[in-house]
Amino acid sequence: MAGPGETALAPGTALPRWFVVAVTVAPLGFLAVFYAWPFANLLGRALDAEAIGDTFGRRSTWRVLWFTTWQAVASTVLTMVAGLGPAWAVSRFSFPGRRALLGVLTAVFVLPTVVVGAAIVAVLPESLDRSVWAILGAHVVFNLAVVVRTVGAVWERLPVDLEHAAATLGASPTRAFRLITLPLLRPSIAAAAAIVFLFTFTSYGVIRVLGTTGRATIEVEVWRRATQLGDIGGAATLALIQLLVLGALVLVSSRVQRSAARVIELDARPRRPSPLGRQRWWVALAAGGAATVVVMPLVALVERSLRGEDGYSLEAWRTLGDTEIRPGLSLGIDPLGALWRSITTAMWATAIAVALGALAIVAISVLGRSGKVLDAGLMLPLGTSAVTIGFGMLITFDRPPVDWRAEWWLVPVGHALVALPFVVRAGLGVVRSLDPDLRAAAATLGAPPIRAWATTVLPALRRPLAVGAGLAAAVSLGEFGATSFLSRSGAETLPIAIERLLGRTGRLFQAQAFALAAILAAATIAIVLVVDLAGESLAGDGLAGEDPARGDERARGH
Amino acid sequence: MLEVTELVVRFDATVVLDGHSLSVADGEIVALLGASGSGKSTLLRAIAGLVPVTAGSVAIDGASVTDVPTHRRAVGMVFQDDQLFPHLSVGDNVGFGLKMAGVAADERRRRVADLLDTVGLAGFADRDVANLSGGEAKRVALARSLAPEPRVLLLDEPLTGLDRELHDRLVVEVAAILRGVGTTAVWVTHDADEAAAVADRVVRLDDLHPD
Repeated sequence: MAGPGETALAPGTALPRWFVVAVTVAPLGFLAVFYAWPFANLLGRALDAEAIGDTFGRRSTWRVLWFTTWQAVASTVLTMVAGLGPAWAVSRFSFPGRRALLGVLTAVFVLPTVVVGAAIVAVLPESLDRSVWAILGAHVVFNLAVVVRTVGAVWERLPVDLEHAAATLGASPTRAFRLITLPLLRPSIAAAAAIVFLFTFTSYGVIRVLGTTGRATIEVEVWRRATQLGDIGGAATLALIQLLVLGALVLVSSRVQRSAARVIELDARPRRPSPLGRQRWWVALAAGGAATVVVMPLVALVERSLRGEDGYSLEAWRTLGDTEIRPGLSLGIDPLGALWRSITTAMWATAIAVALGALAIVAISVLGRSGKVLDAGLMLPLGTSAVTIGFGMLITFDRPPVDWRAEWWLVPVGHALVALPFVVRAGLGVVRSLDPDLRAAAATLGAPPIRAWATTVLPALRRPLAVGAGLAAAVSLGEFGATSFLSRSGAETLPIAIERLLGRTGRLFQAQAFALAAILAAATIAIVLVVDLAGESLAGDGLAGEDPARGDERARGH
Repeated sequence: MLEVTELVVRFDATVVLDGHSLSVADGEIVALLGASGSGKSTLLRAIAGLVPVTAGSVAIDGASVTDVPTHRRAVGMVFQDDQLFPHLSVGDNVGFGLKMAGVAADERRRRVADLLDTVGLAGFADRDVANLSGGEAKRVALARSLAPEPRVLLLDEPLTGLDRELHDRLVVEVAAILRGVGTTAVWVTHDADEAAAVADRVVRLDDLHPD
C-alpha cells in the first residue's frame, strides 16, 4: 500500500509537495469541469418547481416509469430463468466447449448496446423485431453472462456432497435442489438479479434501436424530451428521478445482501467431473441452449449484412463508402465516414483517458488519505449513466465562453470521462500492491525521492495502463449514451450511424447497418480479447476469478 | 443385510473398482480398511447410488437396489466433512430425512429431540450449525443420518481430521451409539486401530476382489 506507506518512510524520502500538486491538478480539474459542473447544472435545472410539477403532471411520465419498471422486472426474471441452467452446467461439469461458451457469453456482454439491438433485429422475423419480445430478448442475451458468472462462481464451489447428503436422506433431485442448493445460491442469485435489474432499468441503446413510441425507458425519454421536444427541465427532472431510484435500489440491495450473508464452507478448489449418464443430456441442453441464444443473433448479423435483393451479395459492404442512395440524393449518413470518425474518436478518447488516468493513479497513490476522495470522485462517472453525463454536458457547454457544442473534441472528452474509471481501476490495484520497501530500498541506494518513486512505480504501471487503454478504446468505440447527445449530425460515430440506418426503411440501409454492427462487434471483441489475455496474469482460472460486473458493462454506453 | 456382488466402477478409462464383493449381516458393523485413493470411498458411494455402477449388483435385504436412485435406497451416509446444511438449524438438519419421509412436524420434533439426546446434544435443536464445535458437528451428522432409520449406514472416514483426543473419545462414543441403535454399518477408514475399535469385523479393500 503506497498511501499509508508514505508515512512509514523517513521524512527525507517523502515526495516534494509541488510534485504531488502537479499530478493532482489535471485529473481533478477535468473531473470538475466535465463532470461536476454539468452535473450540478443538471441538478439545478431538475430542482425547479415548475419542471417538477410539469413532469409529474404529465401522463407520459407515468407511462415511461411504468414501462421502465415492468420491462426491467420481466427482463430480470427471464434472464435468471435462462441463466440458471447454463450456470449449473459450466460450474458443475467440464465438457468440450465449456471455455468457449464462457468466452462467448462474456464477449456478448461487452458488446455495445447498439450492436446487440441490431443483432436482435437481424435474428428475429420482421413481425417480431419491434415487439416488446425483441427488447426482452436483447436484455436476456446481453445479461446471460452476469447470471452464469455470478451464480456459477458460488455454485462451482458449493460442495456436491451437500446434495448427496440430501439424497441419502430421501430427497429426490428436485427436492434436494429446492431445499438445499437453491437456498444456498439465493444470495448470489439476488446479487445477479440486482445487477441485471440495474442494467435493464437503465437500458438505453437497446431501446433506442428496438423500442417504438410508447416503449421508452426513462433514459430514452430523457433523450427524447431533451433533444426532440426541447423540454430541458422535464428531461433533467426525469434524469434526477432515475438517479434517485437507482440510489435507493443500490442501498436496499446492499442492505439485503448484507443481512442475507451466511458463512458457507465452500470448496476451495472446484472439482468439475465429466457429466455421466443422463446428466450428459441435461448439460448438453443447458450449454447448447445458452450458446444458441447468444451466438444466433451474431451469426444473423453477418448473414443479414450479406443478404441482397435476390440471394447473397456484397452490395451492402461495397456501398459502405457511398453516401448517395440514388445519384444526387444523399441521406446524410456516411457509413465508412462513421467508421473513421469512431476510430479517431477512440484514439483521442483513449489518449485523454490514459494520460489523465495515469496522473490520477499516481496522485491517488501518493496523496494518502485524501487520495481516497479523488479515487471516489473518479469513480462517480461509472455510477452515473452515460445519458446523464452527455445530457449534462449538452446543457452546460452551450453558451460563450464555453460554447463547445461544435468542437470536434467534445465527443472524445465525453468518452474519456466514461472510460476514465476503467483506466484508474486497471492501474490502481497494481500500484497499491507495490511494496513500499521497494522505494525505501531504492532510496537507500542513493536515489532522490522522485527518482526512487519513478524507478519502482513507473515500470509497474506500463502493463495496467495498456489494459486500461484497451478498455478505454472499447468503451469509446461502443459509446452511445453520451454520444447521442453530443454528436453533431454529419459527424456520426459508428453506434450513432448504426442506430440511424436501422431506423430507415429500405433493405440496403438495414444491410449496411448490419455490416457496420458486425465490424463494431468484431473490433470490440478483438480488443477485449487482447485486454483479457494481457490481464490474465492478474486473474485466476475459475468463474470466481473474473467478475463480469467489475465494470466492463459501461463499455455498452447506456 | 447388505450384499455387494462383483461390483465394477469405471470413470472414463480408469477402473476404480474391479469386481469387488462384500457381505454385511444385519446389525453388523464392518470396518473397511485401505490406503487413501484405493477406492473405499467409491465403494461406499456405489452402495449409496451416488456413482454409476458399470457392472455387478448391490442388494439390500435380498432385493437388488442397483437401479434404484439414492433417495429411495434407504441408505444413510456420514461424510468425512459432515456436510451439514448450513442454512438449517441443528434440529432441521437432523429432521431433514424425517421430513422427506413425510413425518408430521410434531412427531418430527419429538424424534429429533430423542436423537439429539442419544448423541449427547440434548437441547441443541435451535442452534445454528455454524456455531458447533468439530465434535458437536460430527454428532449432529450422525444423528441426521440415523433419523430416517436407514437399512444400511455408510460412514466415510467419519473421524478423519479431528484432533487425537477428540478422535479417541468419539471412536468409543460413536461405536456405542451405533451398537445401541443396532444398525447395519460399513465404516471406511485408513486407521487400523480405529477399525479394530469400532467394528465387529475388519476387511481390507484389497481382499474384496477375486485376484
